[in-house]
Amino acid sequence: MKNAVLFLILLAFLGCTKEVSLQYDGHARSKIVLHGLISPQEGVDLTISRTIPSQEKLDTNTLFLNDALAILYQDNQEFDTLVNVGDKGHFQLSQNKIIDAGKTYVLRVFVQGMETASVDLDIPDSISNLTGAYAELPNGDGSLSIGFDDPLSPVYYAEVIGYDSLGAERQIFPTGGSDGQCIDSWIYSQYFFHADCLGPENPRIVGAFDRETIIWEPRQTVLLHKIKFRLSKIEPKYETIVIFDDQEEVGFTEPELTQTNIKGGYGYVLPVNFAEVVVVF
Amino acid sequence: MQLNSFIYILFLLLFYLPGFAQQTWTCSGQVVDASSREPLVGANVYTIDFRYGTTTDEYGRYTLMVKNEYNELIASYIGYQSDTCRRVSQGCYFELHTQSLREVVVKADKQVVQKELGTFSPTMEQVKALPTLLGDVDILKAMTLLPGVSGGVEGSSGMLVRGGNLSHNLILLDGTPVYNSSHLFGFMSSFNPDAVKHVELYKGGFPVVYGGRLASVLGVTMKDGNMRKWAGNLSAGLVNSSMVAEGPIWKDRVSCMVAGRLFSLSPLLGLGRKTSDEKYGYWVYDWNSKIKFKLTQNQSLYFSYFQGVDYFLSQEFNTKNQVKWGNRVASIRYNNQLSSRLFADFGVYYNHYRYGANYENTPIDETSILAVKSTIDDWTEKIKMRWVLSPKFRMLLGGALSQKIFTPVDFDFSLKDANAQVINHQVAKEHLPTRSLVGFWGNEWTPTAHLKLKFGLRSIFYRMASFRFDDTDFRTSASYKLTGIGTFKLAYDEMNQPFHLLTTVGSESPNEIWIPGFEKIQPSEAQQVSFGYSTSFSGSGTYLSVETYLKKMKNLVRYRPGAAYLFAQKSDWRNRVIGGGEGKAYGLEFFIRHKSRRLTGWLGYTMEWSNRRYEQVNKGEWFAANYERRHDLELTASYQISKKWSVAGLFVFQTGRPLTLPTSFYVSPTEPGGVLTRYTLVFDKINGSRTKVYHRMDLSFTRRHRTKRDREAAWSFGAYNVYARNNPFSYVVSIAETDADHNPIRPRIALSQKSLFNLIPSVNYRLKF
Repeated sequence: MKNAVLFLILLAFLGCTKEVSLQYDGHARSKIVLHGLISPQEGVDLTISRTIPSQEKLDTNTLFLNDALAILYQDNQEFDTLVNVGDKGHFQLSQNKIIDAGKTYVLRVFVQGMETASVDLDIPDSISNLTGAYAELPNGDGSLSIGFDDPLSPVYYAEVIGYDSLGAERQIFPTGGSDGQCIDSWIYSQYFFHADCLGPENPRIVGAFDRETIIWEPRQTVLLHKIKFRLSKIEPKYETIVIFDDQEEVGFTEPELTQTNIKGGYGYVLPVNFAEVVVVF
Repeated sequence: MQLNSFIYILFLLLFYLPGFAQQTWTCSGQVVDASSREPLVGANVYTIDFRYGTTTDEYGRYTLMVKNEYNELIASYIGYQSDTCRRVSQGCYFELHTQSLREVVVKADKQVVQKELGTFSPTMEQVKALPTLLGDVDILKAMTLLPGVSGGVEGSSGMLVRGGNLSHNLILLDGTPVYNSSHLFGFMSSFNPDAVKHVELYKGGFPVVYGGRLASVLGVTMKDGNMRKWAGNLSAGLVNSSMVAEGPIWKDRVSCMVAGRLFSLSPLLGLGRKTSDEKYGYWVYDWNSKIKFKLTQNQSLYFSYFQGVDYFLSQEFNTKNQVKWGNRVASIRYNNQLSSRLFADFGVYYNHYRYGANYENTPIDETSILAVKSTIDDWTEKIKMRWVLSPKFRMLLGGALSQKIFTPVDFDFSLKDANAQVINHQVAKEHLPTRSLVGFWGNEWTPTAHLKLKFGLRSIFYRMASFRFDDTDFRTSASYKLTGIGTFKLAYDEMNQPFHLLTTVGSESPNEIWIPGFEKIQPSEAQQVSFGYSTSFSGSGTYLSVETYLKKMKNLVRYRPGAAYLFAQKSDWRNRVIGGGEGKAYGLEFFIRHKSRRLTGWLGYTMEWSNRRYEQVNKGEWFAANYERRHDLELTASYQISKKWSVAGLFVFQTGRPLTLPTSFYVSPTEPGGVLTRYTLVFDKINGSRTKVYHRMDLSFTRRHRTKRDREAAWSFGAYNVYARNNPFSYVVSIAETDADHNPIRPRIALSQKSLFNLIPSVNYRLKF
């Protein structure tokens, strides 16, 4: 009898989960979403899409804004109207246009019926004062250190790309070290980190890694052969509240505050000067 | 606070002096239960024409100065027969006898002494009569049924008072602050109702003796122990049991009380075990003890001790997680009625609060152990003196010296290899000692039989390392009684709070860290204006109260967005919190209470607005505070069906609490030009939405009887949430890519509601001995 009662109570404790409809003060409107890179080496590589309001379902036919008007300005003068390539909202520079290092550009994206999105893009000078990148541990597993000479910029962006002995790109995942001290966030091989952790006086470890990686098809173990840094700096002028997760229990915790440089929209367009430093093992 | 001291002194002189010129008697004494000699807190003592009156303090003591034309005093207390004393000049020691059911007299509840604005003190009998979750009486949950007070998540015993946060309540057990007032992740309060004789809640009109919190003061007084005979009771529920024993060590001179509770969820958790390697346990216990020495008729000495502990164990395969938290509270108090006019109370109080966890992971070739804890050690010495200057004027003076040592995070991580050699060892620990000196001065002036004024100052001098916070709070209240109409009341309060609690409100995991105020996180401050009206309907046993308030808060503190978990973090906690928040709350509270021979109950309704603003949150815009309930209604009733049977019911209705939900989502590529695979939810507004409406009804039936050995006993049969409504507990947001049958659908935002408690039956047996 006692066990039966306990079981009943346990059942009652389990409660239940059910889906309910969202209730908001008002319906959210779609906003422009920009993702891309702009660099002297590769020009503009931009994807234009939109947010999906809570009351809508995602439809890939209407997600990308292929009819957007994306204009790049330099010194308040129209520099180029980006051209749409394909049907996935992909935009590039028109022919014969080159992005200059050290210049400031403004990208404005216009879509009928939507708020205009814009982003200020300061193309970094070539980062000649990058003092080095090297693997620290003797067996090649280890840590990446970089140091460079511009501690005033608030946030840096670095892309760390690994190449295996077969010449293929391999993602570098931090496996430890003091990455949490400086890195704001990292998504795959892209890092954002605070400048006050860096500088000529303070070269810091940004990530520890395993040199050995496994390829599944065909299965084999390869060693990283070289690691390349691509470095830039970003000033997060506009902030919004978004969360990089597709599932979150709400009510207990609040969304992460992350940085975007898009005014009137979401996403991130990175002004990059691919100063590359290569570590060859 | 700015006050023209000259005007203030002049004001005092004008009204102190006339009192001395008149022929008066000063009567001091005590009101106790006749059978146990237990002092009665909050009893009314008054002259026969209600011209002069007062209430007894936490020791059951009173001092009343009256003109010599009066030669008798009356003492009354709910549930007791009134008593009259005709030797006023010699002091009156009242021994009140309890009333039987048939003797309940409605007029005993009459407001002979005006209740202060924003003050509630339900009797323990009223609290115990309420239906409860799993048959357990809970003092804090009972408080949340009062207007102006709401609870946290369902089942939680957290209190949110007049737009304040959970940490804005000063909870005192026999005068000692209690930092962790709940068990079971907040689902049960730490206070054993069988060990408690009185609770009193202040939401406004705060006496100057209390401070250090912004929103409320809840005073919980433990029983002193029966001075005449040994008595007690045993209670057994399905997962809990409790006992109380009290009696004289030296009859009429020394008494003691011990009470304990044990609550174990281990049998329930064990049912879910899949292998013999798995072990789950959850044990809760609390222990109250108190010894009272009645040194003379005018002097008493008290030792109080309380310990409440929660211990959670989860062991499976190669992991073992243990979490333990709780308080140890001790106090020594001595009080002395130095003269018929002067009463002094000295106390030394200690509280040790600890929140600790141990996570052990032992895979084959290494062992990692993470031990984290957060503690507070709090020593306070306090003196309080009450001085009756004239029939119309009384004064309260005192001070406190306090030293608190905060250890927000004590972090110790070690990684050992198979040979127990330490590979990695990281330690982070910081002690933050604080000191504060508090002085208070309160005055109560009754210029006419209809008008009562209170005014006073409370100053604090707070130090933490080089940080100083010096502040003086001004508090005042006035009440005016219009015969036949009711009493109008007005109060203005200033409060400050040098210490902050960081918590993820309603978190499912333990996560409560107290931090001291310093340069970056300044002490919080609040101002509150409240206005009220109350009346008793003579002959009907009904009391009505309506109050309204406006509160402003500044320097509120919270986690930085995205940093909602400080515990188990090695990094500097200073970077994870933000201060400088503003708060604004206003509301209307309605309360009607009825007490007749068979029917007792109340209806409470609150309409509330409570908002917050931080520069770094919500784009600097105002947003609704967590747990703001725009409409909050509670109806309680208990009815004595017969001598043996009684029934109690509770109905709760609350509008949904604020909730942060995504307004849209977008998809990101893993790299520029890459495939869009990552969903990103967009949250435009903090707390921009609300949960669904909450309502439920609880019922309980109690059958009292006498055992063969002629002891009182009672069976209680109850049900929580009798109509099994799925009330919101939490919400889960996700991007749904399949339907319920796992067929692919176009991705969309899906919101799921979790409900915690459906219908929960309970059975409880109580035996008095």
